[in-house]
Amino acid sequence: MNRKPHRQKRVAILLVCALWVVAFSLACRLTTQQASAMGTKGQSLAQSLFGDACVALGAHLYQQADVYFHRGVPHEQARAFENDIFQRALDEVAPNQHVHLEGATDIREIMPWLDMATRFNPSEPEGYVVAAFWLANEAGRPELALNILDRGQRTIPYSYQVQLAKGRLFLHTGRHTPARSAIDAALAYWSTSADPEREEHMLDRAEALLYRSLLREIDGENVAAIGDLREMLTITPERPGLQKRLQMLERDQPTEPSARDLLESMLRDYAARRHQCEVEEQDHEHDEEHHHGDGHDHSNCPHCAAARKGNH
Amino acid sequence: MRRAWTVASVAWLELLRRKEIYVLLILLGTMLFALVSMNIFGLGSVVGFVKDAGLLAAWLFGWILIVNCASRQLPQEEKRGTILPLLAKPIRRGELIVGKWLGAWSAVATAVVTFYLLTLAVVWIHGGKFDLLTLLQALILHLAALGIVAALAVALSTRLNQDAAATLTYVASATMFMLVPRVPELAANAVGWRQTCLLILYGILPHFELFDMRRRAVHQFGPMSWPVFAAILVYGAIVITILLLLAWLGFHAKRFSRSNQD
Repeated sequence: MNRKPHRQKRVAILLVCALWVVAFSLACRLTTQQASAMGTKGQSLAQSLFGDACVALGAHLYQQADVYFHRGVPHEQARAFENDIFQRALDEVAPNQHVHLEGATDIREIMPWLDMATRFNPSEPEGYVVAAFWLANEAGRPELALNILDRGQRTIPYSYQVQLAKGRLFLHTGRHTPARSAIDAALAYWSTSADPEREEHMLDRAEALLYRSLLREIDGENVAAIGDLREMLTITPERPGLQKRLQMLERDQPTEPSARDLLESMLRDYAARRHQCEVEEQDHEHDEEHHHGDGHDHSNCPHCAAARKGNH
Repeated sequence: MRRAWTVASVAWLELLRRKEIYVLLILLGTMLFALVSMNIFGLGSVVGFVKDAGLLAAWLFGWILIVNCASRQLPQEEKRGTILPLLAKPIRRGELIVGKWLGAWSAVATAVVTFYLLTLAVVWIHGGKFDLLTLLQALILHLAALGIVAALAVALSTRLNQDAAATLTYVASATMFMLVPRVPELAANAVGWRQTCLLILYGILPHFELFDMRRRAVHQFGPMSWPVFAAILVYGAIVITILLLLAWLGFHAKRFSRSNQD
């Protein structure tokens, strides 16, 4: 006899629950949209929840992206003993060959980790830079790469790394005017966001100066190009190829290879270096004189150094 | 053995009555669908990540279920006072132990199979794929690992109350899962008695890492060789037998009285 009021009560409770879920979902969506529109002004949800632990979590997630790039195989550590029965069985259970993800479809698999790394630790530029590199090169989606770098720029507006990555991306897509603006910004921000004591930051500056020098050369601004090249050579003086180029520019002689060819070759080398990982890097003798597509000596080139800075 | 099955069926009924499985299943489903609907960097949904998250959740939820379910079997009988009429029936204490372990393990194993099927379905709907043979091997080894955790929880619950047994099982199994595979690396930096202790732990503690085939399943390495697979299952069976034997040793001479009830 009392079933009907009970049923109505249950329906009312269910309705309230359903409305609460809808309201909560809507609030989450609106909050996220507002936060992304606000950029740096609002703290991310992850930061609110985890506080300073976000930095460690972000670093772990970034590392996880690297593990995914190696198809789930983490970096090997020194062991006290090897090849006991358990380790032999474990090698079969969880393979540890050195393999990489390849191609646009595969490379997408590392993106969730990089995305989460940038959300947990938004003030670290490396996540944006690496994600943008893979999207532009392997996945062939430079427009998405630019979106990520724009997000990075909104979060860390004075990061020279993000600007330098934007410069590379524009050069990669052949857009020299915005590339030059981004590289100008990178060099301007370098003095505030870089540490001159750190070798990799100095090499990044050398790389940006070389890009700008070549872009100025293309635009016919030889005097300014000479200034950039000179400054670049103060950072990495042992560059016979570039010393010779400087002399040719100073004598107002045509340079060989052309600035365009050299730019393309530099970008190719940068991409090749980024593809190379720690294990392969260890097999690569950086002190040896090695040659790139332009036929010049790059034994101390900033791209090689930039690529190896995180690995050695 | 028939009596052990009868005891096991009670554990099944209890797990269904408690509705923990449904909660975890809904949680897993919601999580997977949320992950699948994420548009990462504008690339659309990425399935490999969902596979990994699904299997990780299956491990995590399976672990929570098995520890809670197995560690409460004996202490609850004792707390409710039903252990006395149960032992008055023609059932040996060893059969009771096996029945309790079997009930908890088989009920949770069914739940874990459902978790795997849900993950498989979500991945398949979104255009991803698992190598089915690899996934089957991963599932079987996962179930064997759950058997070890269940045996450990039952063994501890013969001498401890439910909360203590569950807490100790959580701590011990998590430590074994995370510490034991890292012993070769840790021992490289340790010297003297520390290294000896680590090596002893490595030798005597169960190697849960041998039952975790997620890397193979998620990153498409294909199935593992059958002889190694069989050897790991035999290893699992030995560990379970030892733990159930310890449980029997802790239970066979235990005295019960009405004052034991809360």
